[in-house]
Amino acid sequence: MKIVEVRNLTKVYNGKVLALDKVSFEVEEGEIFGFLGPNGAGKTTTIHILCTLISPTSGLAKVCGFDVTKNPDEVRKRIGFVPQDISVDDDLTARENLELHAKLYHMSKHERERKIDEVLELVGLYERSNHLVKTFSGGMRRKLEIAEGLLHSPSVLFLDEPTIGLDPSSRLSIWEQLKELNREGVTIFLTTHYMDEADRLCDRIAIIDFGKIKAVGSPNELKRSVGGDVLLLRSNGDNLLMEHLANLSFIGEITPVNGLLRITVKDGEKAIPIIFEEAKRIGVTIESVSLSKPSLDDVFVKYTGRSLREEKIDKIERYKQYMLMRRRRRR
Amino acid sequence: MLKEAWYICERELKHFTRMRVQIISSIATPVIWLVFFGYSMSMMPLGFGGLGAIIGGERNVMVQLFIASLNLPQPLGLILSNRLEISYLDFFYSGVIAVTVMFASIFNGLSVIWDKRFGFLNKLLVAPIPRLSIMLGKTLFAMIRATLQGVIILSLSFLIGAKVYTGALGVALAILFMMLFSLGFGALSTSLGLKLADQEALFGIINMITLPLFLASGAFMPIEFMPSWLQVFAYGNPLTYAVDALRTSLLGGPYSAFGPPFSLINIAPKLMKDLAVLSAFTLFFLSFGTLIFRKSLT
Repeated sequence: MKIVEVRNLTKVYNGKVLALDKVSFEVEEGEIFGFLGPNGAGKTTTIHILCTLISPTSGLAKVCGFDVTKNPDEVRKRIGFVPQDISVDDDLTARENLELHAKLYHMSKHERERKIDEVLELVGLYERSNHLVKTFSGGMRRKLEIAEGLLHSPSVLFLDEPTIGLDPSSRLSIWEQLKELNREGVTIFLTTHYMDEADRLCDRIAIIDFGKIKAVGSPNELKRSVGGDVLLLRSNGDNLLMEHLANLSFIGEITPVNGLLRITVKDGEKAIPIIFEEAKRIGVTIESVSLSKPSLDDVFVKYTGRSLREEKIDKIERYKQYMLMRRRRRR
Repeated sequence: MLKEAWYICERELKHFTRMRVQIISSIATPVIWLVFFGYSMSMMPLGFGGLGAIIGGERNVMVQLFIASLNLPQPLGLILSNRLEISYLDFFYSGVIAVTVMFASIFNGLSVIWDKRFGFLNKLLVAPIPRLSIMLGKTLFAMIRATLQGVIILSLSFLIGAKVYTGALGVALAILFMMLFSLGFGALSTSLGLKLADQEALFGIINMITLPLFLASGAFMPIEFMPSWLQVFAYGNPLTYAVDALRTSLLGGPYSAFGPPFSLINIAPKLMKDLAVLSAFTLFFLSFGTLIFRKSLT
């Protein structure tokens, strides 16, 4: 069964900013589906439309068989939403946050107590349940946020950048929890700009850039589509080298990225000596070279011509500023 | 729907009770107004343009002589001589309560802006609850907090010697009116909070609107004492009706903010008018806010 069904979804902000351009995709029941793309690609816009927070300009979006614009309440009952900016209430305890959430989802008192203990246990916050959230670390807040998203047993959980700004161990434990949930039958839709996250967590990925879906498939399928190994090469004559290498039969695509040449080749180990010889012949010095099996970043470069890595810094910087502002918060 | 509104309000109440400083400061400020300003105005000499002396009881004889010497045309002379029995504190405290209640509810939009910036509002919007319940919950809290503050100031006023002329019924009426118009100002502020992106903007707007509302409301002085152009403004000011409703409820007819003197028997039509204006004001901003909630989804 299709949990999420999106057809030609378009969103234009203020009549001029095109955030989503005829996006179509489907999410099957029981899978972990990821939206991978840089800042401003349209990931959050998509998740906000699916969670009934904003309405699309045109196109169709159905969640659990209900149209998000025609039957928003039916959709709301069936989804859990974990926003990118941590939005649990600092001035309430973990349990109070969950209690409010459970009440808003019309859970009975008995059910409420049982489920709150259950989700607190699941995300490992049971011992801290009566502490104010303002004493929590970023990782704990995120876990509480996920606990809240799960509390009313949704059929599908939407997570917008679930591990942004977290330390490696918190990220790992959140991934583990999401996998565990998925094993229990919760369909998961997440957005991320972390390639390792998409790679390790998702059954299928959609690569999105400038509001358009560039490719959809499992991480392995996508990586295979790169067509071989990836060489990253630094030289003193990139353009000349590009020209000459393009004529060689075993060379796939050549893309300049961040002052390096990214070259896809069928068999990396054998290609390197030939490339060096060719460089020597035309008088170009190769300063460094690295060989790797294709990553999702290579997939991203293949479909968008840009590297996703360049985007990372901005986003983390923004997140840090947000947390700083949050700490300064006064009521 | 009311149930969900209550859950949302409950959260605000938890915040409020955990902020002791806020509770203390919200009570201290009006007390300072009442004691410092109210008492000083009562003592102010006539030659100084002293309104307190005109209304104040202590200098009754002198004042009456003075008024007579002015040869004022009716009805002003009548109004003045009708107000002679009460002290300025009696006149002023209902005004201070009304202004306190307005201030307590008009900053309600701040919490909406915080909720918006930190994504909590999105969480409420994703929940399967009617949009009106979010608006109601937020304003319900404004009402509870503001009315609570109003009642505290009312009790403190009695402690420092202010009088109520209408008994328990008058006090009950005054409290009901506090609830009504705090809901209105709360809804006004919540709507503003929904529209604005940051709290600085809300502060700016609140500062800009509260001062004229406050000064042209009859809280300080009877509206008839104002220049006529200002009176026009005062009649369009919801706070004027709030002040009048409280003053009429607490003091009875003759001492209320505007209009010819009424006897206790015909307070009712006057209060009905206040009730009508304040209800319309409250309903307007409640529906306006709900509309913004609905529209913000596009």
